[in-house]
Amino acid sequence: MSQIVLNNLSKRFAGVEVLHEVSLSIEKGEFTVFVGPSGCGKSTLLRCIAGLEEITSGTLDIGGTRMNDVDPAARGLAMVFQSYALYPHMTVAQNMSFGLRMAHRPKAEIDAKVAKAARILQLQPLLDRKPAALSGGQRQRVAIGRAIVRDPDVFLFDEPLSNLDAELRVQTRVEIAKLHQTLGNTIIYVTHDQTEAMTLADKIVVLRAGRIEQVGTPMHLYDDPDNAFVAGFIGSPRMNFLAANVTATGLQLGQVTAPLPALATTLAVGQQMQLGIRPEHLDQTDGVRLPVTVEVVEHLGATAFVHCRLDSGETLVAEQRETAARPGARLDLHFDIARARLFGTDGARVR
Amino acid sequence: MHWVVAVPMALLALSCVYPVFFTVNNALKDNKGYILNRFGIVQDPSVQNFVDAWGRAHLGEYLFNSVTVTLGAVVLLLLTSSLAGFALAMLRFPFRRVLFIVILASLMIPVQVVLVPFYRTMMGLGLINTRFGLILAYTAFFLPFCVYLMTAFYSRLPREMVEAARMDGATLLQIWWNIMLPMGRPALLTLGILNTLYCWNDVLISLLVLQKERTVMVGIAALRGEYTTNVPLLCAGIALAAAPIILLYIFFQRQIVDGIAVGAVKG
Amino acid sequence: MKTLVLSLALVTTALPAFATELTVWDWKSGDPAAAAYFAKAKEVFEAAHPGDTISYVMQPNDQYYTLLGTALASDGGPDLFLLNGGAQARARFENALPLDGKLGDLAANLAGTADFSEATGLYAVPLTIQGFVVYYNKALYADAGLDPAAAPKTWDDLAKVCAAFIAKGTAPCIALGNKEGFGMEFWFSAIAASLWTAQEQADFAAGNLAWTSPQVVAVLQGWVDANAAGWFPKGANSTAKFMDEYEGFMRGETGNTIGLISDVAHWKQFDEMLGAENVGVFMMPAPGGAAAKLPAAGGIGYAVNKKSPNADLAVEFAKTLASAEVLQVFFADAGAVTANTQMDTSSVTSEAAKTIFGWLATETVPMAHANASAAQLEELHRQSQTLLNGEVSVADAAAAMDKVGK
Ligand SMILES: Nc1ncnc2c1ncn2[C@@H]1O[C@H](COP(=O)(O)OP(=O)(O)OP(=O)(O)O)[C@@H](O)[C@H]1O
Ligand SMILES: [Mg+2]
Repeated sequence: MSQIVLNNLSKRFAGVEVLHEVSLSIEKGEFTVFVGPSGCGKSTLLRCIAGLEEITSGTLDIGGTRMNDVDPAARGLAMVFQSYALYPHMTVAQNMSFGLRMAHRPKAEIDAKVAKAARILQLQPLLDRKPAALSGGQRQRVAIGRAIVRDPDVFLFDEPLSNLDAELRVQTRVEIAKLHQTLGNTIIYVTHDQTEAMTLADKIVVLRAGRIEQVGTPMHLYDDPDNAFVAGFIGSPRMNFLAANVTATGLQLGQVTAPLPALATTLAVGQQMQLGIRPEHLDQTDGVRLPVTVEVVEHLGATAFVHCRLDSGETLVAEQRETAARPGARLDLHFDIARARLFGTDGARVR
Repeated sequence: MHWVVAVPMALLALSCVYPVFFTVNNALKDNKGYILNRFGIVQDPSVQNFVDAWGRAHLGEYLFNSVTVTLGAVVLLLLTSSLAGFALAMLRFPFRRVLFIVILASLMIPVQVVLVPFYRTMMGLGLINTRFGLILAYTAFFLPFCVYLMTAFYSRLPREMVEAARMDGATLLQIWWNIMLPMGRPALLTLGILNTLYCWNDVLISLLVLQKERTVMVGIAALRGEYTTNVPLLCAGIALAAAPIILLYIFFQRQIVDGIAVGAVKG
Repeated sequence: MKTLVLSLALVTTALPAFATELTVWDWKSGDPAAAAYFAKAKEVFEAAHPGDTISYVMQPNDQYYTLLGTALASDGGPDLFLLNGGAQARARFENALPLDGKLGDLAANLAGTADFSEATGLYAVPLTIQGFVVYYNKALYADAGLDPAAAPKTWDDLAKVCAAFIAKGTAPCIALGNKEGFGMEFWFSAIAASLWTAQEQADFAAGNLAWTSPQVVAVLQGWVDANAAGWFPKGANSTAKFMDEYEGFMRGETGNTIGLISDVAHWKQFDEMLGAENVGVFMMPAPGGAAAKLPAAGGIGYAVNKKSPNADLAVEFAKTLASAEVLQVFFADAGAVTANTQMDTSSVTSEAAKTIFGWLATETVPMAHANASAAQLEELHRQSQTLLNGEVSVADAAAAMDKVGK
């Protein structure tokens, strides 16, 4: 049985619906990531699960129990906020023990749990400090510690890394992954960064404008996106989209002619389509040839991103291992048509 | 060039210190000595005025009333205003904005306008001539401003802190006591100082409510006669009445300056 | 325990049936000089009415009428309340019990009742009589080459005195504090007293004597002339009459001052500060006036709250407060000139006081300014200052006064 089940969950703020009949199941121990652009409703969905927002309609079940009207603290969840929301007037130890103290747990139990969390997160030397005397990364760990101490069934994270610098973000990301392996709890994690989603998730939920676009494992979403939005959102740099015209023999991409990929659907001649090609797939030596003009080359060391313009005026990015391309130079890119994905003009995937 | 700052500052300091000197100096004179030489330094100082003010003018008893009432009112004000500020700033409930605007609007009603209905209410509740009545009256009169200030102060704190506490299983009252009250310290301190002064210095409300017992500032006001005033006795009374406030200031000097600074920086 | 509380509650609720507490408001009972009088009244009354008690509530003078107004408007006023005679008293008559026929024998022995009456009757029992006289410093008179025993009797006498003071040049002739306009109030009534006929006083009181009439203009003109002649000190408009003017007089800085005879009995104060041998007194003469007179009026008096449930008892206490036996204490301690004509004043030793009491029997006339309206007095305060500054002519000031309704 799934641990968390949302069924047609909707949320309205003062008459404006921001979540539209969201349905989703999350398994026990699963690391689920909500991704989507800013304002799509990720936080709102998480807060509905947490009980910080009232659910307008639909149902939320956790561990088989209807939770719509249950107090946040009674849902067996712990939450780590984007701003950490530490209590500034309490020490690290007091911050972590707050929930247990409010529940009037015995002192020995509190001390043991705080000590254990501190050990896992290497916070022992910091226990007597106030949050103001901690670095961003340390505060982040205290916030996680406060969640761990409560021994929850489910952890909720709302963009926990967004206030950290790039290096610390990678480091903490790895720590969170390890923590998940150690503790084995269910985790729901909100981010708008697809890299975090790809690296951390067992299951990614892509949201757009209050609707679920697609749910699946990272590789599933990468390989087999349901629509152009998901295809564009997952993967970095994002997928290139080229206008394509269906001909009797294949696809016409500007001056270039390409064979049709293997499809279950039969396409009508003259139909307008979008062809999606990931930058890392424009790295072949044969296959469909795309003659382009190089505009900008970004060297990242191991690879380079080559920003190019087609003769049709469309732009695309190619990721190449070794390139001698110079801005202004002509270049022939090749790709395997089997790797490309075809979408209708409405964005829907054509398989 | 430092005298450009030093001279005005010294003058400012002098203008603050001189009234204190004038008061104490004249409190040590007798009435005749004062009339014949108002500004000179006291020749043969006597504490008789202090004895008279304490005993015959009952300032001793009145001081006790003032301390009780001020303390009671300030504690009640701080507790209620931080509760109300917490609710208005952090919780969502219907008509929250309307309620806040009504409270703001009540700031603009001058005391004089509501004296008659106020007095009737106090009579109806049987609170005339009770210290508790005066505590309630001060709380009622000064509460709108306190609620406004606490709401403004709490609105600047992250709401996520309250949500974190809710996730931690704290009840609303626990959140208020453990989080909001300590977080509100700078604002509460500022309000504490202001309201202590308001309550201590009030004459009008105190006159209406406590007619048999009196507070010290009423006692002072009563020392001023219709045609003539015994100025040295008045000075002694003022010195006695100001002493607790000055002691309080010396005691809490650091916190008071910090409180004012926090209020100023954070606006 | 429970029964004890219960029986206590019974006792306290049952008590009012047997014993009444009368609440009395004033602004004087805390004054050391008046304390013995108030204590005596309470003692006499409580002895005569066993079980009943008096509770004085003294309010600060400057808040008194605000508080009284609030309490009366809330139906929560005291049983008795003290009032100043004249305009202040009249403003409260609507809350006061008419006392005609309720005072028994006392009624025949009361002076100053006019200031606590309206056409509809008497609304308060007067306690004291207030009046204005001129006190002078005999030592300064001698310094200026004047005979300290010869107090001025006419306007010309006064002019000679002031000429001597001006010639001597060390002290101003007539002390004047007009910061609030009180200097003019005193001047106005003192000059009018000696200048106007009884009929003119009555006309003025009734609002039938215009400010632009020659009689009133003469009073204002005297003010301007005295100032032009240099009788007043410089800066009168920034000197408070209470207490700057009188303190200066007590320090021997000025030769003459128009002062009070009662409540704050200036003769008593001045005797103490200057020495009784140095204090002289005369009635203010008027330019062209016949004989100088003493303006006097009811000073303070007690009204009974008409909504008081104990009104009858309150009237009894008002009678006690105004009785000769009790007022004797007020007179002895505070030098109050009482409204009860049965008072024995023979014990007084002050020469100035003896002189004043002599005049009280025969020389009193109405206190003119007390018969002006509050609005007129306010305008008079303003005009008196501009007159002193020479910013307005007497005719214009009088015309401005006529514009203010009675
Ligand atoms: N309390 C609220 N009242 C009204 N509208 C709200 C409220 N909270 C969120 N919204 C609206 O709901 C929508 C979803 O907001 P939400 O915070 O869930 O977005 P998000 O996906 O978390 O975005 P971000 O990545 O920027 O955090 C937004 O349009 C937002 O304006
Ligand atoms: Mg968000």
